[in-house]
Amino acid sequence: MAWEDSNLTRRDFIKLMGAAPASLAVNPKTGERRYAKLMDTFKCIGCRRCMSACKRWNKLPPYEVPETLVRDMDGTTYTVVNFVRSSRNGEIGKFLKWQCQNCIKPACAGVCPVTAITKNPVTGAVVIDETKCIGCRYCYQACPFKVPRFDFHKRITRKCHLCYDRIPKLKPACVAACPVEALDYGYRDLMLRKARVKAQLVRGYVLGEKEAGGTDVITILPAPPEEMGLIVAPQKIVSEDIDRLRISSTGFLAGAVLAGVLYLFSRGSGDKE
Amino acid sequence: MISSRDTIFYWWMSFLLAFIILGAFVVLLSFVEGQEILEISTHIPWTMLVSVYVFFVVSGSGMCVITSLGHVFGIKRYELISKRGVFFASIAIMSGLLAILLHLGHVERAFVYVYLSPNLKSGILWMGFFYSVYLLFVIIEYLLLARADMAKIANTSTGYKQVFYSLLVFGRKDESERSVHLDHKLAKAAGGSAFVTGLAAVSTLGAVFAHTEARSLWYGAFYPAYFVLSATFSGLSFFLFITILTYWIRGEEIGDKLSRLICELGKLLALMLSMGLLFNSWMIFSSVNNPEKINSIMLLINGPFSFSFYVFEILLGTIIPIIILLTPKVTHRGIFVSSLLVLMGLFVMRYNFVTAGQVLPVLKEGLPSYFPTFFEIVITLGITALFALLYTFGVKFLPLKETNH
Repeated sequence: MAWEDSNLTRRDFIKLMGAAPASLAVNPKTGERRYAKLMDTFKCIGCRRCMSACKRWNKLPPYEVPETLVRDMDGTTYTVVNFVRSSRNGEIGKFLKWQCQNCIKPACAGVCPVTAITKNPVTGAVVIDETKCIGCRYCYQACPFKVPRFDFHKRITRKCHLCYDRIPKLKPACVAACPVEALDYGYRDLMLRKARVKAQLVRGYVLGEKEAGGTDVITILPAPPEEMGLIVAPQKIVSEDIDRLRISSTGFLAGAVLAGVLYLFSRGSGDKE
Repeated sequence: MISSRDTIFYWWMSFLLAFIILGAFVVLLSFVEGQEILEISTHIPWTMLVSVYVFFVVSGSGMCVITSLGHVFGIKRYELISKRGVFFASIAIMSGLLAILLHLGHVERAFVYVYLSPNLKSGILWMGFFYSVYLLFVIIEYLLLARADMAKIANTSTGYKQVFYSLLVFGRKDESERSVHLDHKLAKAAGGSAFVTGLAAVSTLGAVFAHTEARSLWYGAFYPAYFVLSATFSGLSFFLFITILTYWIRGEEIGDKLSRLICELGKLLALMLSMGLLFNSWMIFSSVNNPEKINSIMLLINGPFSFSFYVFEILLGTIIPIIILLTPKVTHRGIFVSSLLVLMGLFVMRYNFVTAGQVLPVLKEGLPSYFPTFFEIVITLGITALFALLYTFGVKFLPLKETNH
């Protein structure tokens, strides 16, 4: 896709540069700028150095390449690179690096019964404490992207943690290993701006801007996720506290109704003590 | 000299122990080979053990509703079944909790970190809390209800038997009317607390599934309420099944009052099943118009689960039992058969609910296999055998029999 093809006007460009919402760029509590990772499918050459760098840094066993050649994450593989095609335009095939999207409001952290999952609001990392995880796999059920994988031997759930032990001083292992700068890690507002400009130029889609209420991994896709065969996350915060409270309350209401019915039944049954 | 009845008993116990040992072997194997042996797919991380858990605990909490009709709501004729009902509730919860603990990757951590770093917004935490408290209340309730009978045995026996029953009554061997009256008062309080926590537990269990917005079949306000309703017919059918079976196997005659009550409970079961059917139909009809739900509901009504859904859940598990139970002169045999059918249907329903809920959005091509793995079946048989063993011990050594007091 060349520059000339793009319908980006100068006015649009200026608008885009200033469009990053302040609420997403800055952590409201501390005022610090938050970080995010950027993945550009238009630059990725599919060398999978990021996969091996991830394995090396996190001391994970090597990946067994499946027969189908469609790679999937597992308990010891936090990230995979696959060749994906858009259903709308079969010509657009790109390499896509897929991993935990490190949501700004992670549903997994909200449902973990023992608070083993925490979100760092500045670096963006959503980290599972491997010494705390009880292996209930509720995080996998709650995740809108279906990422956390159960490690059957360690009996805990594991996933990409954005190399929380490197950032923000060092870049995540995958970003550092990328030979073509398809990956980047920096301030979220800058990453988002970069992604928007690029997406506008190539008529692509910015994944992670609104999905699940915004994520700290931003991916530039050639087409929207539903056309790329990816899991489509709702464009809002998933499993919010208030929503869960609403759902729980219907159960309690049903219990109260049942208690009332039983009381009336006992009144009418005629052989009370 | 061993009588033929004893021979059958020993055979039965050996049979159950064999399954428990096999189940325990699979648990050990899962530590050596990895927990993968208990999964049909890495994308379906909740399978058989979670279904077994739901099956047992929902029945156990449904039983609290039925027994509470007696000494909580004061309908005298229901007091007849209090002891067996409450005992059944406690062992069903124990078996269910065992299933879910075996499903966890690290059980030992669960007991530490629920106190050290609880997440008060998590459904699983509250479910665990309510079920633990509920289990405590039903055990206390049972010990209070059976105290007078156990005190009688303790007072008239010697040796180990006396020590055993004295321990169960915590040394309170007073058989006077005043103490029995006190027991009843305390049992009423314990029963009331069990009723409240039992309902809270089962609705929270429904909410654990219903909270997951990323799972379209489970998500929404329907399941917490439906779990409360389904608890009543789960508990009822399980209770009717084991009560009638116990009387038959022991060759005892079902008393007049109990016989009438069983017929009444049968009618109640039919009512609850009809309500369940109504709820289910409403859920299906409202989901087919909902673009977010349609795909997941189609798995049940026109997909890999449809055969078991129509045949086991609807036909065998609901419609045929309702027809049998509503025939004017239904016999105990009829009630027994229909409760067995309901139980089968319920087991399939729990399995379908748990498994089908996880097919979307990941497994777009559908399930790799509908059937659980061999090891899952063995472990399920092990847990069921443990439940049967506990119940057999209860029947043999504890006062469960329906007698008027």
